[in-house]
Amino acid sequence: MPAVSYISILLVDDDKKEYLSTNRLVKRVTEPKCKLEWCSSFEKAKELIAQHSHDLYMIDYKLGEHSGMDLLRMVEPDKRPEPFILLTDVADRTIERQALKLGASDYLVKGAFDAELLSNSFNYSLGRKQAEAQRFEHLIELNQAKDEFISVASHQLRTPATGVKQYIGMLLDGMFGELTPTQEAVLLKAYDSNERQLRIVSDLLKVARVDAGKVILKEAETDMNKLLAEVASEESEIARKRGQKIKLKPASKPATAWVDKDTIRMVFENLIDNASKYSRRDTTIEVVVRVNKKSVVVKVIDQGVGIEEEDLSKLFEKFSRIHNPLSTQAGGSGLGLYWAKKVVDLHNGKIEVESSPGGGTTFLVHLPRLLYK
Amino acid sequence: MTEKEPKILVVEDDASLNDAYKTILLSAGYDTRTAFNGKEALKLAKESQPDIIFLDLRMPVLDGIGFLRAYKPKTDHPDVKIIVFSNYDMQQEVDEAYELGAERYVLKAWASPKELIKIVKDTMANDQE
Repeated sequence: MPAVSYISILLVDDDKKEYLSTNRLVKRVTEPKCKLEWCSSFEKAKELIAQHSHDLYMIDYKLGEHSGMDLLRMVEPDKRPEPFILLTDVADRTIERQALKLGASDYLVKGAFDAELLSNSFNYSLGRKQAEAQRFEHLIELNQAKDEFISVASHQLRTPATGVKQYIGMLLDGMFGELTPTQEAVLLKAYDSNERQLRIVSDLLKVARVDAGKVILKEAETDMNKLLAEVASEESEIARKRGQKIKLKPASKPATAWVDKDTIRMVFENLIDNASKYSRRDTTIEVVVRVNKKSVVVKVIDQGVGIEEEDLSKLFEKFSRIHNPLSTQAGGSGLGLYWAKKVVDLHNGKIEVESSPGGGTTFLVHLPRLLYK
Repeated sequence: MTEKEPKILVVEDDASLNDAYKTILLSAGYDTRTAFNGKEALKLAKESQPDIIFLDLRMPVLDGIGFLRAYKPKTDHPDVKIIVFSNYDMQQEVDEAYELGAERYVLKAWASPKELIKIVKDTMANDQE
């Protein structure tokens, strides 16, 4: 950015006389040196503000049929680096409070300020924004440190759990002699428990990565009929052990979606695995692929225990554990659906759920057919 | 069919894992040596001429990437199969290892003793194709 020797200010006021009188005062402000420009229309002001046209904005409370408050509401000064000062004809505490609540940095009454007060207000407003920016930067740093900590801690946790896996695995493989059925059963429990721990660590890492914005999608045209056939076939093995079947109903026409294949595969592994975990024996999980005008829709329908209505909204939250008749044995991390929603959102897709207790659950995943621009 | 039993070098800094991999591979009948960092691995690789190297990435003294840079699998040891065996699934690191000549990346936490032996068998089978 080129060096600016003065502060550029935009006055949004529908009265030219106000501009002329304010400009006379602004010219006398030496600290900071300022240059005032004027805009009389609400629409034009919105456009200029959106382009970050000036370093500071002074907004009149009355703007023809609109109010300066409408403008503040629209531009959300809280989320912007430039300060906003509201101008009114008369002192009014209610308006002042409202303006500050909407993110204005300061509030001035017309005719009641001179060059010195103006200078103070500019300095205060600019300083306040700078302090906000510093605080924000600090928060970003703290957040990065947290992400880094989760990543390092999770990776560190993997090593001892990998050791446990090797040693119990050796015993189970009979490397140190034959086991009695009881010994084998106990070791299998230890092995499975350790596997669960490893899965939780993997889920934590996946979530930390998506939260830190580090998931980079490699999107390409992907045949969803084929992808779901592969996932259904892999998951059938696990379902069979639980006495369940997986039935795939592919779309009758090509179901090509614009997605990152590996990531979306994990989403469906997760949904089908959940469907299986929360269903009893002798049930079927249906995977249905449909093609709409703009999206490929995949439904994962189970005949499982279902979800209470009040729990539906918690489903996609981090660490949400919902109690149901099979939740204690299912043993999830409470992170799978949170992660799935995040990555489907990253694809500009949508994930929805329909369920009733005892009536099974359906997850619908909408994925874009074309490159989203 | 005469199948040559591979010589294996395990490079792993965690003592407990190092010992586990050695026990598993020895019990499967493979001539196995172990190193605890990249520097030791360079020395052992020179002495023992392994067919397969299981290489951890994050290690003290000389890490896995440093080992690959010095060992130069692509130019100096094209017949040695290097399996990157790490619990850090950082794409960038894995990509770098591939670029430097690693043949395969396996998440350590995924491989059970049976799978470890299967990796060795698959690697040798691919080599004979």
